[in-house]
Amino acid sequence: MIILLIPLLPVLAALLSLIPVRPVLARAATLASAVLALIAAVAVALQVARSGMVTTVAGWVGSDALSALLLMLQAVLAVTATLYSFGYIGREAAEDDVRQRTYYANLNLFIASLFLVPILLQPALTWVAVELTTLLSVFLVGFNRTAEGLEAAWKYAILTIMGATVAVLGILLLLYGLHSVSAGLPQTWAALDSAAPRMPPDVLKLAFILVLVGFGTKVGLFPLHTWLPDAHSQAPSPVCALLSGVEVGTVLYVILRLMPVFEAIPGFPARDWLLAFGLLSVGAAAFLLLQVKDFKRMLAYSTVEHMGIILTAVGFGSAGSYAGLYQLMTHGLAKSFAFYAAGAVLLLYRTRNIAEVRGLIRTSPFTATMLLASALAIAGVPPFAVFLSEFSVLRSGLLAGAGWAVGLLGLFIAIAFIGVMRPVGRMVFGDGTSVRAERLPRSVILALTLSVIPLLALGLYTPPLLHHLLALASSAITR
Amino acid sequence: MVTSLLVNLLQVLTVLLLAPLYKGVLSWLEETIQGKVAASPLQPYYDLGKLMRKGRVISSEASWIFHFAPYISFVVPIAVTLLIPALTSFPLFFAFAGDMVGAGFILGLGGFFTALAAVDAANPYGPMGASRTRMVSLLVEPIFIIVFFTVSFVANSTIPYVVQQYWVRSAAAFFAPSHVLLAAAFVMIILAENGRLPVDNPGGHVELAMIDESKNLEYSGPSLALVKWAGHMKLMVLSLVFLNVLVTPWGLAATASPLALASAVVLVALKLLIFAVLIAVIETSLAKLRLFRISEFLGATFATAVVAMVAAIFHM
Amino acid sequence: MPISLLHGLNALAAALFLITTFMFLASRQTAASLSLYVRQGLLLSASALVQAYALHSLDLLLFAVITVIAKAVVIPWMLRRSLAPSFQSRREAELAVSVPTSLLIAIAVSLVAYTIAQPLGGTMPSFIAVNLPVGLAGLLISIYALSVRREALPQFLSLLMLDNGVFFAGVAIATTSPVWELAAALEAIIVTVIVALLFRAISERIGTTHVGRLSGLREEGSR
Repeated sequence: MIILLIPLLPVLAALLSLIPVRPVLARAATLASAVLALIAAVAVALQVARSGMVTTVAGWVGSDALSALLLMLQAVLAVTATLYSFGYIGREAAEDDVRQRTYYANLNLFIASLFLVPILLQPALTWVAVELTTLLSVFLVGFNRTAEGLEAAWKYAILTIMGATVAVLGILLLLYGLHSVSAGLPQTWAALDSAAPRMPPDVLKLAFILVLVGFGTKVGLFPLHTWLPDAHSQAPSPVCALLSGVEVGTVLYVILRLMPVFEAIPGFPARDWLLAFGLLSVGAAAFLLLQVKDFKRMLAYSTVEHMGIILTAVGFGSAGSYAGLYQLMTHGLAKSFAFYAAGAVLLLYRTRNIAEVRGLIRTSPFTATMLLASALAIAGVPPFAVFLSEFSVLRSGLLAGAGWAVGLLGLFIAIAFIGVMRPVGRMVFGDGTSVRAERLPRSVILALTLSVIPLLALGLYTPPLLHHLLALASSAITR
Repeated sequence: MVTSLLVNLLQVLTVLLLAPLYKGVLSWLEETIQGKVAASPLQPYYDLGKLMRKGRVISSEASWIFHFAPYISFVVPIAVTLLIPALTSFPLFFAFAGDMVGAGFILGLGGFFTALAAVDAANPYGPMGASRTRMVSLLVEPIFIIVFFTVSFVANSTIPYVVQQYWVRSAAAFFAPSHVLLAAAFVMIILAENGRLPVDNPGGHVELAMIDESKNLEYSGPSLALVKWAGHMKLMVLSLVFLNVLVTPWGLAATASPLALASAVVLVALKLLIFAVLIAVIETSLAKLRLFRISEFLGATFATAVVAMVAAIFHM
Repeated sequence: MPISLLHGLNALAAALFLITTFMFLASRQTAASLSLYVRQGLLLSASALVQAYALHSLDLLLFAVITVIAKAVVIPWMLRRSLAPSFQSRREAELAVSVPTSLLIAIAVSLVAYTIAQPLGGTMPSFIAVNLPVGLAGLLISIYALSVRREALPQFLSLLMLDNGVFFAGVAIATTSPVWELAAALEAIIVTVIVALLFRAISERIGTTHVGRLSGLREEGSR
């Protein structure tokens, strides 16, 4: 029952946000729903850890380990993004109560749609939920009504809707294959998994391509990633955190759920395709990172890189699946932290240009430290959690015997490291002082601090609950 | 054998005599649809008769091409009529003398001479129109070839009589995608090759805008009559190919008996009437395309024809 | 009605569907593109109707009705109402690639679609063998059209055509799953609402909807 509550809470908060009073009610409702959702998600995770799978409505709503992990990530990010929004949106849309209330309503609905994706057991409904996440985030991306903001929102809308429409044909093909095996089967993930070996291989192959290309557009895989940098450079930072930290991960979740089905195609190296696409994305992102001039776009390319790493990891095999899912979790935490820090810089210095921000450490030590920490985190430096996950990805690759792939991956990660650290280093330590505009809002500081704690904690210690859930989840996506 | 030769000549006679009526009915339909008081459908006959009685005026710069082109263009549709199933569904005397590709070449020969003749007379509008006509024919060629290829691929032969047996076998095959697309492409070919809307306005008088009509500009008297008659016959011949080979190969005479032939004439005339209605509706609903857009229009036709070919190859 | 005639009618709808896709590539005026979209929607419903009759499927019948209402009535009405000035201006859409080249690419793409879809066709004749390649071709051609269109509205119409292509293929392979049909048909309306709103905002704020010229987001950095 708790599972059903999770998406309902933000919907309630959205309704409350629309009541025409001061934004305080909207903020309180959003924060309350996010915190309660987090508690519920943790409860679900505990239950799944005990019994393996929780089914609320048979054949429709339920959660296994993979869904539980995703739900927790989504909830954590919802909490931090809400906190951050208090200060950020309060600053951006000061005195404009209507705009703030619409923001919170939109945010809540977006979060609700995100929560819907992992708990639905039918692929068709999951697709509807994914489409909802796109539709509900378009106006969040275009929140600042500048020319560039609207252009970014337009590109985001068109490209991702295109991707979703292509993906739906893939899902329809899968359901058709299921139907051809036996007409009365329920159309759930589980039924797909078990019927996959008996489905006609041509149908599965075409479905694989369509799903990979279609959902891959939303995940930001190269060469369909072109909307990512634009959308992230223009959207408000809390929205970027949700988009990069969790939305792309949620869509990747759908692809990963389908991997066992595609692996059943006789003689078809589905994993190798993932490996190839993953490496392509990591490589392209690494090189694109070297020439970036806007620090939010830099973080967007880093998202592409990390998604590529996850895909490569899953392409390695069963050990890689574990590492990939771990990477999904740590990336979500690290990327949101990075966007919060970048947003703080934006609030203070009113510019996205890397060249215009210099010597942060002297003018705003707190922001500088946070920015440096976040850059280290997403570049994969210990003691942050991303280091552990990237390390296990590389290790799983060696275990799977794909030495050349591991070498390439390591090279690309190294290039990306330079691509991230060089501009950030200049921004933090560089010569010259940029004029500082204002102080940071308190909630922003709070959100930043809250974000860095789990990153450090997970970097030093993996709780057995997490390990257990990851193991269960990785077996769910391996055949 | 003698009967097949006689029936073949009967076919030619039918086309010769009915072509002006076909054109007249088409004009009458269009003008009636447009709400005008239309001239009688027999008007082309009166025009031809009037022109035959008039004298010729020929430029002193003209060469032998100008003198002979009317005769050549008159003979061309007649030669093509000998090859196609106009009245009968069984092969006639000249049936195997040339196939569809051969018929296309013959039509091209006629176009070649008319274009040269248009240049010959040193009228400034002649070469302009001739070059435009050649451009349209150039763009129509690939479509012709694709159509021929598709039908002959299915029928395993390029002889029109054989193709007619195999192309549309049942009512259901009538609706097959390859058939529909091919028919659409061929209708557009007919419109383009005969200078009808949307490619060219057959009733236009502005020489600057003429494409197909420009070939008539310099002729007078009996030469003009021959050229006009040839134009009417070309339209009828292409329509016959469309109707009797591609779309509705029914109602043709199966034997050489006079009754069968007479009913074939009536049924073919009926089919031509329906097709004339179709052309009239298409023409009155479209505006003339700008010159550079003709290539786009024919490009779309080419795309349609290729997809028809692909569909036919994949047996759909 | 004999089954072969039904197959034939469906094939007719498929052929006309493909022609409308080609004509969309060749059309320059936005109003013409919109009427092509309406006709495509009607052809989609026609195919769904024929198959509903042949398979005695209530879901497909419902889908056909919803498609007609959504794609032939509601969406064009919404687009015309909220975006009226762009439709009335008879200006021609700028094309990145010339029309004949686009058509040649469309031919190549259709060939690819037929080749891919052939092994999935099953025994002939069947609805899938006709609908799947046509739907796939429509999908691929619409993606191509999306990438060469420079104006916002034609881009969006390409997106809607993509939708049509996917559902044309989907109608033949749809199993009895009422949820997706209703949701997907309604989704087209929701997508249109959102995109129309976005379009309004763009044209109000920027004064032009030539999104190809909005290239401010580049690596040169921004404010």
